[in-house]
Amino acid sequence: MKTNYRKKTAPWLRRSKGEKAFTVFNVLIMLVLIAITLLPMWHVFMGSLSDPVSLFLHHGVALYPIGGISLDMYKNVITDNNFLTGYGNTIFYAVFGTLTTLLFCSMGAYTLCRRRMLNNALTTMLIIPMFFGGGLIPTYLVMRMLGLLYTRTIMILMGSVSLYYIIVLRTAFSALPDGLIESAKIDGAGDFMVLFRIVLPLTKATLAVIGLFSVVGHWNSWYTAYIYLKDDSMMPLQIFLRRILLEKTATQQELNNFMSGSSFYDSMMYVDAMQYTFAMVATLPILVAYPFVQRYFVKGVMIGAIKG
Amino acid sequence: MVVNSKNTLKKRLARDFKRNWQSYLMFLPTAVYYIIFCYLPIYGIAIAFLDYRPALKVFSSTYVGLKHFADYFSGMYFLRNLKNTLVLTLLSLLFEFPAPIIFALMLNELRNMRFKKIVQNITYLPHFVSTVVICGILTMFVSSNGALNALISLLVPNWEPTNLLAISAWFRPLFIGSNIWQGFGWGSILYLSALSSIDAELYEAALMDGASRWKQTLHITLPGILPTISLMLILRCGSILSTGAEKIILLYSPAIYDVSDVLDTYIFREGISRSQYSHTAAVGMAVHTVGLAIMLLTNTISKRLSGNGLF
Repeated sequence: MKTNYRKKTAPWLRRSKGEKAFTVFNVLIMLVLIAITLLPMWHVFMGSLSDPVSLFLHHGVALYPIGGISLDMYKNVITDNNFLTGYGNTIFYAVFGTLTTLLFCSMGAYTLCRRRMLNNALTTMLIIPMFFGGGLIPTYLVMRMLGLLYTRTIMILMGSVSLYYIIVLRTAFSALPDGLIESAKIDGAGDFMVLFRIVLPLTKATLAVIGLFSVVGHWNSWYTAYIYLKDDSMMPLQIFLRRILLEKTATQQELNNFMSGSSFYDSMMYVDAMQYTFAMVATLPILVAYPFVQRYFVKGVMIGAIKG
Repeated sequence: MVVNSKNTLKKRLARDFKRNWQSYLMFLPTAVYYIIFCYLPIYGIAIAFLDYRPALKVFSSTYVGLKHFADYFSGMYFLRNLKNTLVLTLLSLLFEFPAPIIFALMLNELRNMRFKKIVQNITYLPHFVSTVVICGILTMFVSSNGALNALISLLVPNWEPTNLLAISAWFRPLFIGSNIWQGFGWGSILYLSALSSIDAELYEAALMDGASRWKQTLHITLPGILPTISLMLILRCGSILSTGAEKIILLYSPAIYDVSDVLDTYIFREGISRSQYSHTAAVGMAVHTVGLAIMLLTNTISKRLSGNGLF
């Protein structure tokens, strides 16, 4: 049957030899790209599961747990004080930062959606900073002047309002029928009531997209904390992670906490396994959630791309 | 509703405000946020022209005019920072910018939709891994007992394993390469959405005229996503002087400052770590102004050439 069908296709629909070769080549390239993308992450995952000493002696990529599966490092890491402090702080910032973002941005978007009279003036106010900003140092000084430096508040507020989110939300709000809001207002509902009781429940999907972006942003952010925080008790996970992955002295200290009693040389052998495990545990929530939520992320980019 | 033409805008606004004060009030957090985080810092650029000391109030500092600009431009760091910044942003424009476009075009040629979805899902993933972890993995890969050294020693006899991030020549390829690794998948989404909006009839017509796949790509697909490409290019040009300090700070060390110290990292080091506020505010202002000017320029050029522009 298949060959029959082939013979019947019109000559201009037949694919030339070159095109067939290209298809094969294209699929091969894609497979290579998949390998290149996954290999480093797989290496870290397998490294974290490996036996620390065998891993230290192993050179090259770890394709399987070297020297058998060992979960000792995980046990060490998740009971580590720095790790717990960082994890707690990051969750705190992610939750409250995201709630702030959703609240502020949806309120701002509602104004832009409902009050057309001042729309241009307000939108201009939000667009100008896209093209010209004060820069790092003036921002830092303003934060210091306002007493926000070295506080948890700045971790929640910094970046909480964004033009991008407001545009996405305004688009979603504008898609709701006008009559819905008008009739609620005729029944005596104020704008706050309308927003929280009618508009937001109907745009849950958009809120979820923005919420996810915001959570991931907070989870992965380290630079804001690096600039504006001082106290270790307030530091998010990524700051501790940076010390362990990228600062030799801090890595050594951390190791000494883990391996109290063992000699310097012994503990040196545990460096790799410890680093891999820390990286893994910090990224795990994202890796686990990713397959379920990734289509929302793509949707979010699409909405923004069309509008922006 | 008939609007009385005698009503001035002011009166109409006042009436609207009275009736809908709640919805105006809702804009308050956004407005306050923008004032604090965007407009006050713009106003704060003034310290670039003052001799601001942390202990003093801003307005009791003395006015020094362009002294800080002159200091920096004649200083020993200016040329090094400028060169490193330009090399990194140009390399990124050359390699990092086209990567998602080529990837999107190749994805578009895949006929098996399930395979396409799998490729997409996997290549988007690195975008969600934090910069710290990416740099951590990179550091481990290029360390003297890491995987990359093991690979090179297989290919090159007598290779002495070393920490590649401590060697100046390796910094740029590693920096750009890891950027591509993290961004090519996610960056392709924009172009894929532009690709999907191309009229399918165009392809059918081209097929009838006997255009090969390559010709179709050249004459239909590329022109179809050109507006998106030029838009992204204009935005990219606006940041020709800003590499961002975030990732470089994670990767660099004094040993390779000669290739990795850029304008942004200089501002961070001198400003935040050494409290040279006025001096670095001046550098920052110069960077922003030039960036804005270049973006306006590319916008004009792009508008003249193709009719596509940001505004």
